[in-house]
Amino acid sequence: MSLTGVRYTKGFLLDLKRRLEFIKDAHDLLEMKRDQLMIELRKALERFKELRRKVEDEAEEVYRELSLLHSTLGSADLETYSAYLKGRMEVKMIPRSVIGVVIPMLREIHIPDYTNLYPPQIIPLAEKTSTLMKDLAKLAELEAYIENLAEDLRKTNIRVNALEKVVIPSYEETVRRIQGVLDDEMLEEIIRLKQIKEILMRGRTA
Amino acid sequence: MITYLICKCHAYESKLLPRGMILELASLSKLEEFIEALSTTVYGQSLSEARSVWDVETALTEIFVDRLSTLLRFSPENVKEFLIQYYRRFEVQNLIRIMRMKLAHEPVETIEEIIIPSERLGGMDLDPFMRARDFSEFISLLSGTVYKKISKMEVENPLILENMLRWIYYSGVFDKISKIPRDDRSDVVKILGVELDLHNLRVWMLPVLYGYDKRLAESLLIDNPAGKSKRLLMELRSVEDFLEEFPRYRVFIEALMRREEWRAEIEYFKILKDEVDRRRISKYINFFYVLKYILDCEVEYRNLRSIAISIHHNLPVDVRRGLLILPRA
Repeated sequence: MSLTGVRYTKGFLLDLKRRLEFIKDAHDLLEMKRDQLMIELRKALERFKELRRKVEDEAEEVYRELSLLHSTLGSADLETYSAYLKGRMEVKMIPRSVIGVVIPMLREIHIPDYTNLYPPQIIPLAEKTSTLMKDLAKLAELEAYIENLAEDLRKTNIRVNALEKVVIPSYEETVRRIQGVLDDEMLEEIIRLKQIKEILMRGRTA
Repeated sequence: MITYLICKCHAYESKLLPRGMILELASLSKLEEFIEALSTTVYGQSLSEARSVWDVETALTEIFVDRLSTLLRFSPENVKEFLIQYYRRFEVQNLIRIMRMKLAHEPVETIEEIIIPSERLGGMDLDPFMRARDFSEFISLLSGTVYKKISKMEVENPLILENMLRWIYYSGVFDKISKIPRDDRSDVVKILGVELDLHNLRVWMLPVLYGYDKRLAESLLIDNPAGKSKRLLMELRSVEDFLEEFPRYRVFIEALMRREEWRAEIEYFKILKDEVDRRRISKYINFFYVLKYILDCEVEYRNLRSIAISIHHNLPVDVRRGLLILPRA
């Protein structure tokens, strides 16, 4: 890629060098951001793996409890137990920015209260399900966080690569070319001055 | 004549599925195999149409209610009166289910699916209750029944209403005890006492185990004229107290402590079954055998239902067997 509107002047060269310096700083910053995003992503993935394992265990436990209760109480009783529950599960979320990445953050998970309301047979299942739902919401939050981080990392990577492989080399190439042209012009000028000087000297001696 | 009823129960008792067969059924891996294995038994015809676990449950309930209703046909008037009142436990179970479904604004069709046909057991017609527009209408309908006390109550917590239904039921059964032969009354009363002891124990452990309000738990206790009184129970504060006061129910209490409510449910029936089985009846002709047969029918019904559902959930065989209500070895 070559830059357009190139002028072979000293002023343009100085401006180009300043711009190149700025682009290199931006590249360094983006590289730092990329590294930081990588660290964050790695940490988030570790947390995700851990939480996912926990949620899977909890889901297995809930299903086991449900199967055992279903087998013991029968379908009819089990079907009617949930009727006493007042309200629904509600999740409130707010956006949060982490290294410039906007991610959804759980502000509040409201699980309807079942204390003093449920027959004893169903309480352990309600407790386990309630914990599972909370952790599922947290897992979804973490999943969204990872998705957004990964997407931002992808974009940052593209930008870093573009700067590293295309923009900076083309700027450097242009600087080199202008510098070359200006050096040639300066050399020409010196030679021209030398020749004039020689002609003048020859004229004086003649 | 009561002798005829008791003899019939002895005869019917022999038709119940043997322990070995129940254990064998619990080791089957498919519902089709379960239905096939029962095809040569009394369940065969009803189960022949069953395609899902829900169909199996319905068929099992039908047979169970048939067995119990048959006893009413052979009962003399006074015993029949007692049996109808005793069977009202299924009516109460139905009313509780309808009440819950009304609170959840479920349609009549859904409610009909989960109802035990308790009318065949001498109970009242539950159709108006199922068709009640809402929960308030359901409660107002109770005013014309034996449960009229509930319609006058202004209670917000449905658990208290459920308990009132049970309380009215048990008061009715204790009132009707005079309808059975004098010699047999104490044995029947003792079994009812064990039922209430276990119910009260479970309720009184709610604040200890799940942080329920003590006053609520207090209002959920049912007077037990044949077991531990409410006052005595309310003096118990810790799990150690419970274990000390009810050493016979240790396994039940331990299941509750481990929060294994499903196991506690099984232990509840095991304790009742043990209690009934270990009672040495002096005479062959004793009304207690009728009660024993009814309990055995319920145990078989619960065991088969449990097997069908645990096959449906693909639970391991050892777990399935652990869910069975079998007499302790």
